[in-house]
Amino acid sequence: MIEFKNVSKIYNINKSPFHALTDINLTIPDGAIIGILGKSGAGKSTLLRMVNGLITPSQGEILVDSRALHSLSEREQRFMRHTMGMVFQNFNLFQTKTVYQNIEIALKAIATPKSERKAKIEAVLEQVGLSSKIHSYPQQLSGGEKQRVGIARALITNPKYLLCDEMTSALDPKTAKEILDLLQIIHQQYRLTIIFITHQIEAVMHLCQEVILMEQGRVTHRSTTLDLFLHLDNVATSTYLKPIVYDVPIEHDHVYQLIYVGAILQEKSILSHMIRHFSVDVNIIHAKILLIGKERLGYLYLQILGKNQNQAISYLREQGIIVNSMENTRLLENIDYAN
Amino acid sequence: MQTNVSILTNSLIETLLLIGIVSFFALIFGTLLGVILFATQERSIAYNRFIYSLLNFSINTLRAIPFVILLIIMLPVTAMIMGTILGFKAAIPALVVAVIPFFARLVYVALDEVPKGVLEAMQAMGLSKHHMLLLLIAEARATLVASFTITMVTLVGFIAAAAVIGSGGLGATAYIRGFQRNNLVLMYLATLLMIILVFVIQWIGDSVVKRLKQHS
Repeated sequence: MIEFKNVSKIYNINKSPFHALTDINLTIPDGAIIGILGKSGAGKSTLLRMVNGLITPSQGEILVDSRALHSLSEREQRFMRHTMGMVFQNFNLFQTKTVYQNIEIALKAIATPKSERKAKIEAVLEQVGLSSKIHSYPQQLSGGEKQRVGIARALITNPKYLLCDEMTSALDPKTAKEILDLLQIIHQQYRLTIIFITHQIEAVMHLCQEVILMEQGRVTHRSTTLDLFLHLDNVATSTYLKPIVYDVPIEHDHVYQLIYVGAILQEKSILSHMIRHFSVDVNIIHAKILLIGKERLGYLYLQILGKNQNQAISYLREQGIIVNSMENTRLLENIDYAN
Repeated sequence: MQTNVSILTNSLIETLLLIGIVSFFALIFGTLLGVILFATQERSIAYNRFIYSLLNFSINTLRAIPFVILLIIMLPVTAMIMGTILGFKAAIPALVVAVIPFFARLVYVALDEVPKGVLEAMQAMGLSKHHMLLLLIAEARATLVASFTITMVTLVGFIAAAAVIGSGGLGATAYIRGFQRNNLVLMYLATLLMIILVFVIQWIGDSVVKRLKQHS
């Protein structure tokens, strides 16, 4: 378990203070996959580096498994880092060493006897799907392959925590998805705690159970990923959701936003039932279905016309669909579009 | 009277000896100081503001002094250490003092060029400081070899400049026994030998760097 207690970090740049983090209070339970989402400069990388002590707080303390990091000696801190693996956006591999040697360095750090190294390295490479490249140099690998080496290197010490710093940000979408799938499998197998920093909401949707939003050094939101998408009205969350969901002025009257989880509208013919039973007419303005982890989330913008609109809407709500009236308002209105 | 050939052969041997002795010191102490300079800088492995400032200042100052001036300033020290200020032995103290900071600065730059992310990765893996430095040196090896080659070539030039104190070696031969005694053939031959020497050093250095870069 990782705890942040009243953590702040201030840098003195050219004699004026820069508040990288302010009043962070967080607990990350074991076995969680948490995404930390934010723009560049929001403080997410700083936060991550406090978990393994690469950056120390100006105020407050960080506890890992109930031990305060600042109370550890240098040696103890190194041992603490052996329980954590870190994967980076730019891979950070040793260019002059082969894949095998790159991973071996992690084993040398924990003093694994030479006789045991080969088997372990081969096993972890098998797991990340890179056995054929065992003696290649990083220069000969693609981005996705390099990241797999990074993951292998992080995993080989059987860490309890995996710290991911924008690990898919430098990869194309297809490769990124493969890497995230790999991470899912690893999580299921080892029940690691994964902290995943990113500015890409798609990665969070695909991988993370919980999400934390950060802005200008503060935590502005925390919920399950699904909840984030259910509550579009929240100003803090809407900046991320805008590009995913939909944002165009709605020029019609009587438009309603329907948000539903799961296969509700796919199986129970709710819409056709509503149309027949309440004698309303329906026009589809916009529709989108998102995959959040394994859960499907649907957004449907319907114009509903007819005398019995209100009853139709009550009916929809009874079926477990969230219905918000759009009434000529711009979707996600409170955003500053100049940003 | 010695023939040109035997003079040249002796000079060449003296030059090679000087290069050998001085570059040995340069390699050991230059690397050591360069590594310390890198490690003690801000946000590096073993930050130490005092050591860094002191070392940085010393290296910059020594590099700022033109070699010939350094040679002259060091004459008393040279006399004390080597017992003489003439001949090729007398060149050694000043050469060593000039070349070590030169190479140290290049070592620092070579280590500093390794992407900082690699340093972070090493810290994240919980490696010891000692292990981290060794790995950094390994990562920077191509640049280090190229830097050492530059240092050796510069050294040849310094050795020639040491002719000012009658130090011996090809430079002195070209100037004193060649030019000053109107033996222009000797002067040109000695110069030619120096040029060939530099070419050979550069070629060896480049080949090693090329081979090192093949992998990375």
